[in-house]
Amino acid sequence: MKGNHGNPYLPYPVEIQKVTVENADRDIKTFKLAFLNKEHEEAFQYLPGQFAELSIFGKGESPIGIASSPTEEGYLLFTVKRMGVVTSDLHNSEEGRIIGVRGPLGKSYPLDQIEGKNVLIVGGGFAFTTLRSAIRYLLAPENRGRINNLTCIYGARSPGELIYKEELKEWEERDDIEMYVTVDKGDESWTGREGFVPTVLKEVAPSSESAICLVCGPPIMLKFTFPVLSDLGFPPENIVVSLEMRMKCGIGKCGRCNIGNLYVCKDGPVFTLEQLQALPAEY
Amino acid sequence: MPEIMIAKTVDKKKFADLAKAIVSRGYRLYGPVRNGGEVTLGEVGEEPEFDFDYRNFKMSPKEFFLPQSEVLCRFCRGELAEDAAPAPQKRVLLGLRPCDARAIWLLDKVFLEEPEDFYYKQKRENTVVISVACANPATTCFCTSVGGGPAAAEGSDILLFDLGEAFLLEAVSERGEEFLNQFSKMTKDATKKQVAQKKKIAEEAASRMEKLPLDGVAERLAKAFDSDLWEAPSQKCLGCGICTYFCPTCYCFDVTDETLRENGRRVRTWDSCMYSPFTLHASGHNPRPSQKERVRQRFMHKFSYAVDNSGQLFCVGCGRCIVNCPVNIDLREVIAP
Repeated sequence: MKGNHGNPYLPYPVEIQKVTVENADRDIKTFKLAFLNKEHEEAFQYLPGQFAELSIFGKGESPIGIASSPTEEGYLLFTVKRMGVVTSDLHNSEEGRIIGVRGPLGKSYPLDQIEGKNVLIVGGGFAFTTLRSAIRYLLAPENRGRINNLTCIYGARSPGELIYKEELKEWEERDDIEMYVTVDKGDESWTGREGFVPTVLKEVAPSSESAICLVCGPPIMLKFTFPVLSDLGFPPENIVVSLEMRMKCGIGKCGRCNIGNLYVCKDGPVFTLEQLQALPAEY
Repeated sequence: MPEIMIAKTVDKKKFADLAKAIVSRGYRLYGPVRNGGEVTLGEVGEEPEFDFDYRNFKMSPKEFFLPQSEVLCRFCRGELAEDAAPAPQKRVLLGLRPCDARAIWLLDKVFLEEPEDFYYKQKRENTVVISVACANPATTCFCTSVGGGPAAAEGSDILLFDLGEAFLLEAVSERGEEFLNQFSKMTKDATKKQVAQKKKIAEEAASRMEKLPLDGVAERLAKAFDSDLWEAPSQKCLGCGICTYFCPTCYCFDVTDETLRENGRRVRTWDSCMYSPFTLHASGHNPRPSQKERVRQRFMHKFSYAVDNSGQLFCVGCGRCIVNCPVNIDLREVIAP
């Protein structure tokens, strides 16, 4: 990753083109960003699973997964939950504001190892962002033929907390992806599935034959999803998970996001379960 | 260790002249400066006195490459205003101990690995490091146990030996050789006798040092991750972080924005894994919630994770953490079997 002027600590300027409120609680928004300079856009070559530091001068930086897919040209998407100083300030942004993006950072999902395979995507809550990137990438005409079945199980606490609602509907209508959307508890208007993600995964029971699984969700979901995947016959090397950690530099220098000898920013955020099992459980 | 390139000598009486010549060539010269009972590395004045009879500098010289506080960029009304990279200044750091020079060599493995750290690299490339071989290691020194030695060359450009009447200057890097060649009129080639004398100094000092049983320490600590090894030191630890500030190889940093009205700057500052907010997530979750995990992280990083990543222990045996710990945690006792 080479940043502005070859200095990886300097962000590229981008304009907020559009802000979309994603959930009923109104604390998750998607920001559509466009580069101000063409050469920056060209330098920012990314793949699903990578992240970037969103940079607001005067407030600081926040590491956020890239929600757009490189197959969507001309903009970047970041879905951000309002948590601290930077994300709160970002949430108060109006369209047209200039902010910074530093990246792409980290490793992507192993999209070079999916040829001819079945791909299972399991997501929970607002951690669905880089999985959305992966789905968009795999559904692109130039990529869909590279894989066999594409199955997605996605759940949230309540119907209002599902993100990318319009897109979920579109995907449910397509026949080149099998969608299973679920909520922990529905409301009066909810006609869809109810149940926790691991339970739905057990019911759907996708084949682990020549398959790879990408997982991202809250720790509690991961804890109960891994045994189900294991029962379905997924070996740990075919289960790929994306992690979060407090970060600053994003390039493996500042020393805070390590799990054992690996840095989530540089060696991750995408790890196989096999890799994680060899590390101390300090995350 | 790099092969000996050139070895020169300069009479002690003429060393001040050499220092002046270094300054007149456009280098900023930093050397030992006495401040009360302490010796620090500071800019040397017009009439420098060069005796290298101190054990080591109070603070490690890492701040010359990774300053305690460093501006990364400036901004105005939310937009990048200027690249904060200052014009490179040629510097000579004189009087480091080989352990501290080794620490710089270790920091190189982090900061010069891709993507290179722009700010560190600029300072590193413009600095000549002249280390002084130790004849009198302190009781808290253990460099020979962690890959170094009283006259080890890693991280230095030139090694300086005190031969009594004269100093011997041995170039141990290309940068050091080029530097010495600029002053060839003021130095003499070292004689065979002088080279033998310098070898003896190094060997004698090394022979007096305690050797800790650290073979296989990385694997041993990795296995002890969940053991009670960490209980005793973490119960004593106040979490003050002084060990990390004094440590020449501790490099963790924070990045924060400071603003005054419409102007501001992005600054990196030393941080410490001893503090709870170091790993605190925005959600409130903390993967290292107590001092036990934090103390373990510091030792594991230096003696296990770093070995996995770079093949080297990230400790140079300078003993500063032992000397400065307010509750007398002795690193040697923690990592010894």
